[in-house]
Amino acid sequence: MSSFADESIISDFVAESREHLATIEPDLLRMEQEGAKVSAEVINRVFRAIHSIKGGAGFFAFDALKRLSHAMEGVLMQVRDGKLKVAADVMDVVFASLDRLKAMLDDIQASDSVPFTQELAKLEAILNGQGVAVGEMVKGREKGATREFDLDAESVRSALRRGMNLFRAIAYLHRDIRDKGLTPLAFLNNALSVGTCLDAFIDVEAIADLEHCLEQDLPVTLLFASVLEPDLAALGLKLPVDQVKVMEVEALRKEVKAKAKAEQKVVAVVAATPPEAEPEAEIPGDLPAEEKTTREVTKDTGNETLRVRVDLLTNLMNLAGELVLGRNQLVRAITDSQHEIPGLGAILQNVNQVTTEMQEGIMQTRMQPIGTVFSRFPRIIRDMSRQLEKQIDVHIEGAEVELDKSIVEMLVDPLTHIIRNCADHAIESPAERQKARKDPTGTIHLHAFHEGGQINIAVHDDGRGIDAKKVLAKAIAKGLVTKAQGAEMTEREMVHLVFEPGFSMAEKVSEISGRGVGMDVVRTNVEKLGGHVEMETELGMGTTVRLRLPLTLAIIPSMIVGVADHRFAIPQVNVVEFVWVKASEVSQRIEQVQGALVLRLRDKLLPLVRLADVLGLQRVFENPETGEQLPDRRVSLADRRGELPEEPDNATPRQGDRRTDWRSDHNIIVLRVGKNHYGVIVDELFDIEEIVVKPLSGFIQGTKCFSGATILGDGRVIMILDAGGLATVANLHFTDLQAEELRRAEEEKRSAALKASRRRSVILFEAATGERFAVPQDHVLRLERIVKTKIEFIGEREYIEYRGEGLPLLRLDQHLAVRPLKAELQELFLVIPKIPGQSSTTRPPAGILISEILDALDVEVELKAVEFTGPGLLGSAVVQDHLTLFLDPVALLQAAGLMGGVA
Amino acid sequence: MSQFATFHVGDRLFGLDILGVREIIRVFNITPVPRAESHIRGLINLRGQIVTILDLAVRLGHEALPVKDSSHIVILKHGANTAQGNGRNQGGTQDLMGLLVDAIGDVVEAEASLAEAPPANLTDAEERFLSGVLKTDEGLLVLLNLQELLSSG
Amino acid sequence: MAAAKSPMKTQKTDGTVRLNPKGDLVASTVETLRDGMVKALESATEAVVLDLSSTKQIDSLGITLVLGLFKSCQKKEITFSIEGANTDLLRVFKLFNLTKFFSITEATRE
Repeated sequence: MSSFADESIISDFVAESREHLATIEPDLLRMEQEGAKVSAEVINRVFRAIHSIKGGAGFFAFDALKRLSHAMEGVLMQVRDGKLKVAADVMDVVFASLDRLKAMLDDIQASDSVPFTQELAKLEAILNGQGVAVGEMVKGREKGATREFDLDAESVRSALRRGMNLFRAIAYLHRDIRDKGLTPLAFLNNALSVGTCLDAFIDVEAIADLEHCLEQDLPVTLLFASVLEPDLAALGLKLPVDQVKVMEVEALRKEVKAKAKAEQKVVAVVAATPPEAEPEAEIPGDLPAEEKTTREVTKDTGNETLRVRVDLLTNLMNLAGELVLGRNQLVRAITDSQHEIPGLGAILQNVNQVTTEMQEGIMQTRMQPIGTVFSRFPRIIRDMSRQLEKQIDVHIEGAEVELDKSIVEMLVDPLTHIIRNCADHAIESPAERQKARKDPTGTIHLHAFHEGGQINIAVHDDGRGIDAKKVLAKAIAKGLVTKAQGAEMTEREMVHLVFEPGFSMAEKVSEISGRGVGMDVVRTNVEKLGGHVEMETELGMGTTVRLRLPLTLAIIPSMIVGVADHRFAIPQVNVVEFVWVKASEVSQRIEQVQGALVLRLRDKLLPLVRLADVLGLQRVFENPETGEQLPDRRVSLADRRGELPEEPDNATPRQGDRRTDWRSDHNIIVLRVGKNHYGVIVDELFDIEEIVVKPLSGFIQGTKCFSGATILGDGRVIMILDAGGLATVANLHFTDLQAEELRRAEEEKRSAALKASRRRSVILFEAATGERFAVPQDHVLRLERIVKTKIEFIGEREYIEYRGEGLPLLRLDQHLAVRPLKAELQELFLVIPKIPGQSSTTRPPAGILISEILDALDVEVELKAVEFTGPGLLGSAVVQDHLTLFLDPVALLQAAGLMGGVA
Repeated sequence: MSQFATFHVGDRLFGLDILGVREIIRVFNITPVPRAESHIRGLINLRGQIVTILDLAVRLGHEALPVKDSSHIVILKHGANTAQGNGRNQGGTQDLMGLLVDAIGDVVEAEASLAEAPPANLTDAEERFLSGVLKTDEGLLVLLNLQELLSSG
Repeated sequence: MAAAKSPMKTQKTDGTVRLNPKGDLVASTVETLRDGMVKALESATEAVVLDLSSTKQIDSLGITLVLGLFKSCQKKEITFSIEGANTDLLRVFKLFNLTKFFSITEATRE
């Protein structure tokens, strides 16, 4: 039978059927979730999809496909009619059958060889009322509200062909027309300005007789065609949204089609529920060509669409890429002579703009919403949660965000892997979650959004999180890192070890995701796309995996930079800013932290690399450029690299190296890798150019520094730098710097605070002759004069009776490198420090012995560090022409162990 | 009888089945690839397509070839068969490969089945990349194992 | 003058009653018109003709009235038709698909 059905019709049928299956999967999930409350529309959509597959299968004689879809249709019919309750076990069978249908469609000619008897048997068991709970009737569905529209097939067809939506709008004569100050004519004129009225209907039976009619508010039902979407159509018609419903075009069309031949005027049955007879209607075998196009063109949205082969688009995109290149070359070639030919500038500009627009347009055609990937996850999670006996919700946000088709396709595997990990490992069992006082139902949140010309995808789960220590222990056990390396790692770095090749977190290989591949594959795949993966986790709270991806792989604006006699392209998405450090500023802005070069940029410290060093390029470039000599130099460079490993010291800017001697300004490009920024020192900056990314040969991909190559306007090939790879190769440790940044920020805060309190009141005194000290006045509780003879010893310590108690005494020379007090002094002074937070009546912990009080005054000084150190030394300054040491008495007492009992 | 494109690398004469050769071009502007393996000489732009150039001498375990006036690049018909090679090569862009050679020789006709095993005094690399030798009027023709030559590693 | 007293001219020929409202079928007139129609309908045995040649406008209530009249005729199993509708009225009736229920003829003038 399929002999006369030509290949293209079959492939159309397959494509259409696949689309059907893809669209009904979310509907089936909804049916399962909402149970009896699910809207009839959803059930009908599923039902019709399966029905049309069955019809096609029957027509083309794909027996297995037909039998399975027929059984599914039967089950769905029972659900629709309220004879069968949507229970999870029913849905299991339906989903399993759905997968079989998909498998059959994957290779339609071999569809009969797909095993399906098990599913068929289960479906039939359900149909026969065995093994499933035959549920309560779904009540309250309006029945028999059949209304008739008279309409001619041609007007429906033509409306549909123009991509219009069909609506069933109800307008109440009084409420919707008169009360809004409209006459029926005005209402209708308005309606006709937003669409076409194909038919109208007033239910005559509902009208009372003449006597009582005026109290009635009669509804007029309109069959209305419009390009507007449902909510806008209601607005356009000036009707409440719930009175404007999209008509199920498929059903309508089928009716129109079925009867089109017999009579030009047909009756379409439009009812709240489709009529029973509908499932039996076979798809007419001899579809006129025109009908077929209509059907495709009117697929859901109402926007006119065409099916185009992807390879055609890919080819077109490549050509557009070449055109962009050609334009660039052209512009370059004739820029100089532009003024010689009048009008050339305008022509160029025109060509320029059209090329850009065309290229963008073609890129657009390849864009696909990320939702095409996301949409498969609710199903996956549903199956997994049943299998794992977990409760998991999936939330999707940003499904409409568009990406190049090739990226969308390549995201399927990594995202699936991440999602499976979430369900399998991250989300705990309901019991476990309850024990941890969490909602027994776990949540996986998928979120896609644009940011800075890139796409971000975040997969968040509220599961158990990842234990960084365990990850590290495992990585050490597997020999991925040494203990010593591990000791220096931040938690974040530890967690990121899961991305290392050979690391697999799963303790046991589960049926679901322990397939020997782990997050390293995710990272590899994402990086292959020019993207990056990051992970954030909080133990017990959950994990977020973030992917950053370019919008498209093909054409990217890039900055062209020069190092030595090489040029490189840096994709602009990676470029944060450009910093020019003048030779005179180099020493202030560039420094070394833990042996690595760092750029101070505003309040940030950015790791800095010399591109030439990372790439192992010779820094001398005095040699005139001759194509033939390039390779020679590279090889000799390799030799040089062998014998002279680059020392970090070589790279410091302070050391006048050969290259920077003659011009030591620094061109620094700040690049972005995920959340981290770093600077790259280059020799020269050129234009920003739109470049066509050419993939690298497998021979070169191992270098990690490059994401591709491109051909410049002048025909030369240059490499495209991979910002992430470069950072890896340069071995940048962002986290170290973050710690350093934090330390500096704190230090700065402290010194700022110090500066602010520069003006201080001090008590100036002398200990040994000529040694002057100052104590901030607010650190002094009291000054006392004592007589030497009153000093008593208890053990080694000196005491004096002070207000009836023994007060320990402290001599400065015992703790600081200062000279002792003169022994012959009979009269001494005591500085009794003020302990912060203590009242003046509390017994002071100790007194500091000095020889003389010189002054009490306000000084404005900047303290300098003193060469010798000791506890309680704030610093030194010159006061009244004498070098004076500033003391912190509390710290001094603390160091002397005299603060015991006092916090 | 098969036809072999012949070329010189150092003092040896090499041969490749002419069916495997796409074209032979003069050397121009090779863009080196920093950090790549030493036998990757660089990339060239061949009419809008990027070709990866292998340094045959280095591949065979010898010193790199200086580029001379006589130097040529033999562009191969078959792309590299590396594991990752096809990851991003959609839309028919082929992973084009070329061999940098010292000089090119004539096309030689010979019976491929008469090839003898390569001599014993070879470097490890040579053992891997040479498939045999043929005696021809021009002298001893060393045949290359293209498949090995084009697999990375 | 006369129109104020009787907003509708009623004419009876055999079993056919011809109703000719003297003005628009709008909120302000429908009640009076309805009362007149109810009365006129009693004597109709064959047909009712609604002559709208003096009517320029119709509002929601007017349409309800027409439909009520139609319904009552239907109950009495007598025919109902509209004559002399101007283009605006005709447009409303046609768009509401009332032509499906009864015959509507255009105003001959204009």
